[in-house]
Amino acid sequence: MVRDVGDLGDLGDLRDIGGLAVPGDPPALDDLAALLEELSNACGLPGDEREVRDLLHRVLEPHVDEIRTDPIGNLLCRRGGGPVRVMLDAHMDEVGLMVAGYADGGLLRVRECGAIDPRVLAGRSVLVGRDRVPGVIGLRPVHFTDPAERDRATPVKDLLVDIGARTGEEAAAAAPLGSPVYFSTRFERLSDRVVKGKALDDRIGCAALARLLTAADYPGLTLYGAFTVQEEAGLRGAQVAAYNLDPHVALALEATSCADVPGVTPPDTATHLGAGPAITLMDGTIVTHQRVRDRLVALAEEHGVPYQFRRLTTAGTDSGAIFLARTGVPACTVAAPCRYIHGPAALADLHDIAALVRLVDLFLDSLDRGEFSL
Amino acid sequence: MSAKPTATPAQDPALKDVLAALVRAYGPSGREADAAAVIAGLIGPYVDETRADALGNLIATRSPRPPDPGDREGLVDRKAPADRKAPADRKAPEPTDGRGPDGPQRIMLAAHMDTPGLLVTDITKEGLLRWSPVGTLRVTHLPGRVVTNRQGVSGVIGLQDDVEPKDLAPGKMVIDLGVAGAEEARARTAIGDFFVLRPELADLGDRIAGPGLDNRAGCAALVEVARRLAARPDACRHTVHFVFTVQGAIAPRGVRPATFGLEPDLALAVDVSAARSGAASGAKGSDIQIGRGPVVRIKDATYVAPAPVRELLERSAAEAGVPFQLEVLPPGADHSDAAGAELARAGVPAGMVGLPARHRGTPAEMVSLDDVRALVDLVSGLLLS
Repeated sequence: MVRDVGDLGDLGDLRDIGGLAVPGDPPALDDLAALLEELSNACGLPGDEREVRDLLHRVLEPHVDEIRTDPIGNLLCRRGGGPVRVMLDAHMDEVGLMVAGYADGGLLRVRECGAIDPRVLAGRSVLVGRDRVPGVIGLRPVHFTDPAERDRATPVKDLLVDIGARTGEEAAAAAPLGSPVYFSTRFERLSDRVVKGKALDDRIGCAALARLLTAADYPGLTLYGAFTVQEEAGLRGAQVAAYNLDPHVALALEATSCADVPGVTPPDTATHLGAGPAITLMDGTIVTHQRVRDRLVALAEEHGVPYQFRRLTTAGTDSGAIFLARTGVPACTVAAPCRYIHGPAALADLHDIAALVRLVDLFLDSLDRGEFSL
Repeated sequence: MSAKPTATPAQDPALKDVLAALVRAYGPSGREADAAAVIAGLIGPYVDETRADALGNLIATRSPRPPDPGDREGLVDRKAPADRKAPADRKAPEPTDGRGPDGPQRIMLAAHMDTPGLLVTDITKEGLLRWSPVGTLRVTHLPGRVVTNRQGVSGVIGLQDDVEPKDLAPGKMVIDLGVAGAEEARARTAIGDFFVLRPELADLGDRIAGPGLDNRAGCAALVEVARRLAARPDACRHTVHFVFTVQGAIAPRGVRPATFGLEPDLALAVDVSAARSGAASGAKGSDIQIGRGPVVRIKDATYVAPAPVRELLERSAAEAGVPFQLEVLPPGADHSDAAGAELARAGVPAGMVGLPARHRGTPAEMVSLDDVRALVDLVSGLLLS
């Protein structure tokens, strides 16, 4: 359940953690929100990231020196040709469902693509297939269920998606096996800072990376932007992108869990919304590189950019695939906190994203000026 | 499988010294630089080059010596030595005989050098440290233990009140630095700091016990192998890379890029195998015992020994007169760097040689010096033949 917007006000004190300085001016935040809106509303399950990729291609093509799609669908951009190769990564895919079969009466059986909590599914509006056929994740009406059934989540395999088809043939024609099923959530700005949308993991990273590729020049760097596929299916795209680009250092730009909501107390909150980008210490796939991590912290401290550590040490992001590429790549992940991540509607704070961009910009600048070398 | 005792000196103080130095070296997963420096100091005299790669793997390389007509004893092959062919020209490795019948090879010996640790994830207002385990630590053995960080700041692992033994979990334990509050705690540590179990080695005669012997005992074995090779400078016609890998206590991580860079013809992981703990029922599905010689692993969670590699190891053990134990682990159990090395580039024949250890994952992992010496006999025999 997405909480009422008014509740956000109760967390005002949390937002001041780290002495949040407002990064960027309002027009810049508006631009960021506009880009994120397009990205959030675009759809891309692992394996079919075309819509997101086409959008990014259109946005970035005028600003980069080279842009191409690799054989498995990663969008690889290059800006500059300096001696230090830096890879910035953001994955294009999102979690969702996939049509996996048909049930009586023209209903669709589905399976999850990526990690989804089945509690958030029943009753949702969805869009099915390339043509975005609208549908609903069905649920037996409350009048026909006993309390025990209402107290537990229906497993995904037992959920049925209803697109209004009357027969199996009609359903199969409108939604062939393997069709993607997306949440139909539209992006909204809930306040000057807080936005709502689907797929903020990792369209936030995509927006941040796009901003970095269209902004400053770093003459000493070859800056690679890798918009990767299939992160939610096991960090797949990043593995070959890193092999291909052979960077000296890499950062994955992400959205990460944020549970600063009623009922969860520190330290279990993982991150706090509005407290700045979260730097990963360790997750299920990597202990992040010490010097890269320490450099990010030092830059944030020096320049007054708010930051926090991700106080969760499980799950994984693309840096876990990148750091093992070829002969090894020093790597770290920085992420904007994202409430209700992997759900139909997530919330994020534009200030966190702007601060993420600022922190990565500082990191690139420090590499560019030779203040930090690997 | 044989249980005959190895013919080794009763005392080998040098080996114990090496082990003591290694156990003392700070090096939780991801923060191995100090351990790498200690190992580099120990192995440096026996190799031609030591270097660290981008992730912190320590790579110590010993190249074959030019042929010396005066001393050819023990060599079975007299082909032109040394010169490494370019990768493109290299023939595919001969999987039918990992030894490569007709020329020198590049052989990688890998031992992960990291130990488990405790990563500080938060500092409470009382100054207590929240933490996450790095690598495998048996939670039942943690309450009351002393831990220390790189700077030597010590703390005690405290358990929340009212926690039943069956509910033990990292989230129910804190590191107590003995400070009055958060400010004092922050003066001594920070979020992101890594603590390790206080490094103490119990000298039990032929056996020793301490934290992190998985896999510092394996690292010590590689140092001893390097010393054996250096003692007979002309006897090894292979290029040998001793690789001390990072983050291997968590998963086969550092070994992958290291293998990619070295392109070995054969990779052997030297790691620890869980042994039965005396009278207890012991490791599930394993009948490995301490003191009965090194382990030749056949199967673990992510690895199956290629038959030729297994046969090579068995043959080498027989030739060296070393007893060994075969190990087949149940699904999901354990991992070693062999699984990471095997899939580098176009594939590498990879084996795993284990040191039996009791009480793995506890502050008192126990290994037998006899087993270490026997493992060294086996591996150096393979290289010197």
